[in-house]
Amino acid sequence: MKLERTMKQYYTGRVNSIDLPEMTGIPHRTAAHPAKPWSDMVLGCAMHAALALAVAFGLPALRNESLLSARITRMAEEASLDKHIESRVKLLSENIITIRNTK
Amino acid sequence: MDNPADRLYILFQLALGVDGRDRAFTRIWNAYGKRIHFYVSRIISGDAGHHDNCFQEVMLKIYEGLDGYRIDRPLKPWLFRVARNCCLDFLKKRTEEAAENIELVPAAPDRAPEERLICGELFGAVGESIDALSADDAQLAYLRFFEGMRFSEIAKIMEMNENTVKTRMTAIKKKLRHELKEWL
Repeated sequence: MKLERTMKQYYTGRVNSIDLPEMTGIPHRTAAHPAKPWSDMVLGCAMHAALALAVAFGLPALRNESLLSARITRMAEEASLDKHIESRVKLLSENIITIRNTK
Repeated sequence: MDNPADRLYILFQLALGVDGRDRAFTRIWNAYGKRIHFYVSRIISGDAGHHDNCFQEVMLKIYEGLDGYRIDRPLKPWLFRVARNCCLDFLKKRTEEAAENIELVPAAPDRAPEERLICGELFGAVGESIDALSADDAQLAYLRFFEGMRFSEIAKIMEMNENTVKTRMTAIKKKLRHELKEWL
């Protein structure tokens, strides 16, 4: 039992000695609630235009407009989320590098 | 043991979207950052720059992987599994680079003076005993002694059979007791 206690104390000392600054959040350089980027708006318009054309030309697979619209909206939302995550990962990466350089 | 409050907090924050993900990650950073950093340093030998680079990779993987985290599973084993996999990828990459440029492989540092400064003579001896263990055994010792994980959890992280983990832990304890018999 003494071994376990000694090991625990040793690791506690080592882990506590690590100088890792507290991360108080990723800098919200893109703002907490960013405005919809122009690229997303252009993408959305292009998708709706494609939908309108497809329905106008009567493609059988695209007759269910509401279903397709919902699907396209979801795809656009997912694409937008991916972009946000990508940008946050970049910010986080920069943040960690900054922390490391100031150590 | 895993902290259920952390899991609940992360579940709640992830449900809030991208900003919640940031807050969940901050919680992980504050609660587990030092532990993960230390664990990474147990796997990656060489100077502190290598640990820091790999630690950065690990934290980015955790951030990216938060969506894939299943809340019905304990958080800590998941974090350490991500860390271990990331470290193994890092080591593999480093080995490939070393094949092209032999100078990239650093010598294992002499940690003894640092250990003695931080923890005194006893812990200096403990540090030397741990350094004498293989990389896998050093990880097993850390996960068991400090993180207090179950054998089944360690087995999943290390991708080993549970019985193998138990056998190796018995051997590790025997070895450490032998090395530290003057102190214990």
